[in-house]
Amino acid sequence: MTYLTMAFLILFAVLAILLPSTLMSVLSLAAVSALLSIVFFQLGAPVAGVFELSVGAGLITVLAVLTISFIQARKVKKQIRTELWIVASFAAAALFFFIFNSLSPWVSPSSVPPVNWGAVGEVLWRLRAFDLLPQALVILSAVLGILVLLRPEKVETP
Amino acid sequence: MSENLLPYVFVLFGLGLFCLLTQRNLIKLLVGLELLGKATTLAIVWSGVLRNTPDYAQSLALMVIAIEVMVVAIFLALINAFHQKSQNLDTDDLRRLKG
Repeated sequence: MTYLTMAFLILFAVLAILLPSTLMSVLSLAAVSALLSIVFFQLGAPVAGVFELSVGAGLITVLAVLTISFIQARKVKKQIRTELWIVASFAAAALFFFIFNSLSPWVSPSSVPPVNWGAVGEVLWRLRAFDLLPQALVILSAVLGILVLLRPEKVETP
Repeated sequence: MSENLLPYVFVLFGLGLFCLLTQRNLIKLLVGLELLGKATTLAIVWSGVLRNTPDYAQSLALMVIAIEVMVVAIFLALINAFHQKSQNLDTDDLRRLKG
């Protein structure tokens, strides 16, 4: 089951590189993140899976799509009908459901390792408290850097 | 856990490297950077599973993902700033910033 998920992940990674449209490329990258979070769940790492799903497939995709929509003008010359997109989305979802459902007999609840949710927090806040603060400072400095990069330019008046 | 994910990690890392070396669009470079980060995160989690320290590996993975988001945010801000100057996303135009 993990191998199948990884195969789909590699497929979407190749699509993310080869697709000419940057928007489709970013959406393929979101699919890679979603599949990676499934792999994390299958490996018994649900905390990393949840984080990857919410941040990797969610936040990064939203930021990238927003940036693309800011910097690229919308092209309306070749517009595909909305109904086709809806049908294609349902067909893709049905295909994924069929593949994963047909493989479900190989996955039993006993094959998923038990997870101690509190242990990750224990490791993070006690064992790794030393490097947590510097990393928080790195993130804070990155936020300040973004604010500097995105500040509006001053218009000089003669 | 009997799965051997090492080939997949290398393939994902290789794809990211290939994207970084061959693409010229800045958004594509971001995709390549992300693929490298995802390969690294997968390697960390899988090594934790192999060594039976999944909690420690997950805490490391969380930090890698958080730093990855910051890298993406800075990269996107740089893309935005670069696009305001040059009106395109081609890395060849970045050479004008040299010196």
